[in-house]
Amino acid sequence: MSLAPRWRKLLGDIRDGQGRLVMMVAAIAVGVFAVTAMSTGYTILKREIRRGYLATNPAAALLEVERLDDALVAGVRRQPGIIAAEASGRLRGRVEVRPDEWLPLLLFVTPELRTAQIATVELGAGRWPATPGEIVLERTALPVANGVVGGSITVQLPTGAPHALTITGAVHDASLAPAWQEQTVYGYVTPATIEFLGGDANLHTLKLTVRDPGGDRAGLERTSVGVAQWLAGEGHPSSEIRIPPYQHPHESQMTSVVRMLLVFSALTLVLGAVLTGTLTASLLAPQVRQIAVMKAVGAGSRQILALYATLVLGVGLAAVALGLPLGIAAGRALAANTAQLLNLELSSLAVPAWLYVVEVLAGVGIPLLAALVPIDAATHRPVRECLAEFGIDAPSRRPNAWLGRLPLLARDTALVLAVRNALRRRGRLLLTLGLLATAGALFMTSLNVKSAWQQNLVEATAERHFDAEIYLTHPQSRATALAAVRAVPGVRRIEPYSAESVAPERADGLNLVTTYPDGGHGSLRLQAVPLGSEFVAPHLLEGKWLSLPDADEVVLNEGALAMLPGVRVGAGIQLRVRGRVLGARVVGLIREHLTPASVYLTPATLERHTGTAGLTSGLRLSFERADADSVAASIAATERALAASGVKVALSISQIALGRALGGHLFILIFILLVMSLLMGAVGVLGLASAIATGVLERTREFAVLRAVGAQAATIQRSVIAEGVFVALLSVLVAVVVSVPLTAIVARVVGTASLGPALDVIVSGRALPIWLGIVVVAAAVASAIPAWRASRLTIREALAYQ
Amino acid sequence: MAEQNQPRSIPLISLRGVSKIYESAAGRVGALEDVDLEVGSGELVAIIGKSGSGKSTLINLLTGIDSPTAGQIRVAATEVHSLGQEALARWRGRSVGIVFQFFQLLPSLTVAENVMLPMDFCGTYPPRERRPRALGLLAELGIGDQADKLPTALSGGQQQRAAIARALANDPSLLVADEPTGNLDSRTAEDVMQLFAACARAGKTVVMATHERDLGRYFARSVTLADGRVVEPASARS
Repeated sequence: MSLAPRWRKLLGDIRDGQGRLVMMVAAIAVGVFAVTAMSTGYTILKREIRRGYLATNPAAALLEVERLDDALVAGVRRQPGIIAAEASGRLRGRVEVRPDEWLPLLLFVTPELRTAQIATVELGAGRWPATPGEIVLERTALPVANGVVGGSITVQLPTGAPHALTITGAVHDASLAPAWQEQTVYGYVTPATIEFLGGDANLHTLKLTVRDPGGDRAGLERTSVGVAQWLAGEGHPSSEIRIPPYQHPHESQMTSVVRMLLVFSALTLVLGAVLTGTLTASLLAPQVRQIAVMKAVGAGSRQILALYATLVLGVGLAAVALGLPLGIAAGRALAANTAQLLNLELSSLAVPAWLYVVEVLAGVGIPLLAALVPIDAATHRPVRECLAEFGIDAPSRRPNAWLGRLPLLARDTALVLAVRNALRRRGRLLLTLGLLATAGALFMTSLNVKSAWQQNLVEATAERHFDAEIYLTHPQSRATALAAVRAVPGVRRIEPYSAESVAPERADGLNLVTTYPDGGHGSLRLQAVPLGSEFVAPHLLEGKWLSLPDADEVVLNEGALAMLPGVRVGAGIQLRVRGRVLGARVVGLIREHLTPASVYLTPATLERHTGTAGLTSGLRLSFERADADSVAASIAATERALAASGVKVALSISQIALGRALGGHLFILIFILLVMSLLMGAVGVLGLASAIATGVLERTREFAVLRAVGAQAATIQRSVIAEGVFVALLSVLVAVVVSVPLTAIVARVVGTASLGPALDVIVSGRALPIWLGIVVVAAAVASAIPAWRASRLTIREALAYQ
Repeated sequence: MAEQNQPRSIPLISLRGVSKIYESAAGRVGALEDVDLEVGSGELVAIIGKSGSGKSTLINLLTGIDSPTAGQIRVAATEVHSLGQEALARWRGRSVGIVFQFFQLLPSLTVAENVMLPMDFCGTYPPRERRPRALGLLAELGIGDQADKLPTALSGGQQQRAAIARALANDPSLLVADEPTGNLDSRTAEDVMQLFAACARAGKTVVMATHERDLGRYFARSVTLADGRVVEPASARS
């Protein structure tokens, strides 16, 4: 059976409107691609990060006890709510990554690595250590330590001399952030190796698993406290209880960042859908009379609506066919890339079928909904009005007579026409502005956030006016340490510095913290800095900085404030440090960049509360020369001088190494934002081209009249192009306004994902001129084709246009 | 006035006190004022008047393309003025054939497909019968050999014949034409008028707006409009 005439008519329309249909398919495909990529990436990552973390059978709680033995662990297993318990150890040391250059080393100690049940790691290469002097490294730590399986590394514990250890294998620990991000080497050893290194081979960390570890936090606390109390009753008090959040250290950051990208990708799809609406309107513009004729010969509005809805449905399906597979591939690539950033092993790249169904429905349904607006309008226009259309519309509102009196426009009728035409169809103008402005706002936001992130790094560096920190094995004579370092050539300035791990004081006197297993994430630090320190430049948000040499006063940074609910400037806080209670008044709140939660006080106050008068647990130094090689050499010289004076160094960290840890890994986010904004920009420019082309079609007879009264082709071209550029300029204004709150939102998400408060809202100096250039050139190019067509029409053709 | 506009047969069309006022930026413009008119079955009636007299408005109201501001329009048993847009479309497709001055054939469809279009939209004939019927109508109107050409390949007269064939597609009882010869040369216009006359002889009611008084001999009755009012109700020809 041959095709019914109405469908043949539709095929004819498809033939005639190929360009617009291709643009529609492209616009929707871009949206489908973006949404599919982000939702695929999000679904895979969300599932895998959880799966990977849970696969390690993570400890729900960890208790630090002076010494654990098998009988004690067996007793713990019998406590209420406990599923399993294992003894292990965790020590900090350092590893020499280049001659005289050391990085922090976190050693996890387990008697039998291959049979460990809690917080397990997976051997990926080599073998488990069998004899003392052997170590396996976390796979991401190998390049950081400059080590290879089969090779050796030099390791030193605070209590021992440097020793070479053989790397027997590489493991994957899904519960840790990648070593390169933290600039920390993770190693796994047996107690025998700790003994070999000169450390305390006793196991002191009790790992517990409980029923429903991810559920009731209060219940988990009760269980853990119950175990601690039982241990205390047995004569083994716990110095610290750690209940880490039951998730990968970067899970919440990853989730918030990818969710934000998902929102932006959905916005791309919505923009694509809006463009479909405008393109459909432009597709229908020359069909106005034909639709009227069809209605005159008996077609109902619903029949015509169904006809064009089918067309858009087909366009949506074509776009989905194009965008979906590409989006899936991109989403998987995104997941793989992010997995690498998160030290995740992706067990599967599968995505649930329902997600594809939702994406297909969204890809087809959202543009269809957007297109139904112009389709409905076109099919419900009165037949008489459509048949009487002459192509010279009266403006729907007052004709903006004032425009012609503007000095800039008064001399050029083409410009007056351009501006009036742009303002004539308000609905279409708003849609086009919406498309371009959203793209522009996102583009500027991307560059703003990039600038803010760079500024963040600059400010983080500016806040630390020192080049290196030296941590001592234990608090040692401040005077001896300072005297030893003063004699080191190249050292410009030296200050004592002490840092301690602290927890809010509890009524039961237990030291309960929410630190992750790596000991860094989620920790609260107490930092003692001298009054008048030249190395600290506090950015005060509220209250005052430390001013009294020995008063019970502390200053918090924003991270610490977030960890101490209910605390504010002027309030008193009680902290537990080194088993003692430190009570103080909060006198100030400061902003710090890329710094963990910290509580600041003076050395004298710390010493008084911890009984360490005249001692320091570290030093901060600045050097005459701050390049990497000079700093490494100066640190080595300083360590030698300290050693010669009997001061034992646990670890030295240069700011350059810290910068490496913080530097680059958020640029992937900014890159994705930029790509997304350019995709949106493409959609916006397509929208502009479509709007201008539709306007030209509608005004075909008007152009003929202009030509008939003497307008030259160049005048018409100038008018049409000026209209496009005018709309583009308007969109830039809107984009600038929208980009500020958008930047604030993204800066907040990125800031939270990078250890701190929201990034500052910075307006990039380059963002506006770059986007202005892109959009004006694109608008001129997009308008040039309809302008050329308009100027090529002969008067006879144009007046005969129906 | 009403009795002066009586048909000679049973009225198929009846207009009672029909007015149409358009709102525009310039204010309210009365296109038709208080028009009463009846047209009988099988009549060929001309609506005559100068440009702006209200001819096209009257044609639009008769076909339901436009709705009256006041008054009643009845065609056969249908109260046209009370129908909604969807119902109007259905009624128009089945009961009225419209012929436009500029033919208004869809350019992307062949001539035969243009004729099949009303049957397709209204579902009046089974799909397999539509093309044979379209070809038959085109043959009757003397352009059977043009059936598979696109409208642009046809002369003006041929396009208007095709448009008449399309108007007859659903075998409506009423044919309405708005200046159907206005875009044709005089010889072709005569041919087209003979086709309309043949339709009337075949029992169809034909109402035609025209300003060409030369064609007056074809009409059983002429109704003259001026400034939206009927001023010359009847002619004497049969």
